[in-house]
Amino acid sequence: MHELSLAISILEIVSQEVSDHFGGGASAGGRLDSVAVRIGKLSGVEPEALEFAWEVARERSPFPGARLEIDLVPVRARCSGCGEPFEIDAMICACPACGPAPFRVVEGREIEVSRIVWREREAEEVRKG
Amino acid sequence: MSEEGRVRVIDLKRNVVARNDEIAASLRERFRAERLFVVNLLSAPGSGKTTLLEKTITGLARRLRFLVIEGDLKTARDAERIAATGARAVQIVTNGTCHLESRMIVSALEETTVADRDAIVIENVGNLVCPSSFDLGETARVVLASTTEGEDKPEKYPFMFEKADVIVLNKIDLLPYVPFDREAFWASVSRVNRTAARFEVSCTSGEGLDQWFAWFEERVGAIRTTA
Repeated sequence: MHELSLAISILEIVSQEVSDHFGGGASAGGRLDSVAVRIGKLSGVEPEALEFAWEVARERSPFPGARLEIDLVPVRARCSGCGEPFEIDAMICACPACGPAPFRVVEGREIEVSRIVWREREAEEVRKG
Repeated sequence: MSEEGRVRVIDLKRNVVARNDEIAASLRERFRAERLFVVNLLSAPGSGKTTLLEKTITGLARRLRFLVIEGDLKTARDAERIAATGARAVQIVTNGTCHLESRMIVSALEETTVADRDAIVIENVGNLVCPSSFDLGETARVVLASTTEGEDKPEKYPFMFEKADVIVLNKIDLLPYVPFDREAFWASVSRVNRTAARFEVSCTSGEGLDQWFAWFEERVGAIRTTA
């Protein structure tokens, strides 16, 4: 269950971003609606375990209502023989063009926060309008 | 009427394990400066990590000085086994955390000295999933499997086997007694990793250990002689 450490790290990143963009502490001026993360299929992260860990971790964070959206990133590699990129399906790893040449995984190991969605308070909207 | 107002969307690209990777990068820099060969030893529980380590330390005792960092969920039993071989051992008890992180290696190194060592072996927590996400600054990732496990392990745990620099198959003395198909195992390895060095050993009979020792010593030598 390293997903719990990851969920806590995601919340730390989000906390920092919220304070950078919206300032004045997490609850000031609105609430966090959702967080999107990109999880590579080769990252070793189990999406269901991460969702479960998220529900546990967010309770003790300033964002107890925030949803987690997981985008799974397919594994892509580049053949060292011909340089062609190709997608790896179910880990049958051979370049479709030249077969047994070595290859390098170029995508699919991601564990990253890609988006946060913040809802500003109505009061602010009214004041501005 | 909605209680809430404008929606603000912030697009980012922030690596969740960035902090771990940063610490690992500084460890790697330190290991390079001190010319230390550092192995991150990984396997499922029971594949024989501690036994392979005991054999390696004993087999190379006259030529190499080891520091072993032992990661365990509970108990210091493995560190005691290593200390019995005469090598220096530091224990990290993770108290339930299923993997080692680079900051734990930094703390472990604070408890000891590495100046008089040739190699560090970090014995990770027995687990084929979680430790694969955490760089420890190692020079080489060594993944151990054994003939009492399924030969399809590499494809079941591709994230672990794909990043390995070395794959060692242990317990080959048991091949006549177990349904393990070694060719199918290496074929499975080839489907996820074509570049890793491969060894077959038995820590019980000693078969294959000389080749493993030779590889290990050569790697230590190569690091020592780099300018």
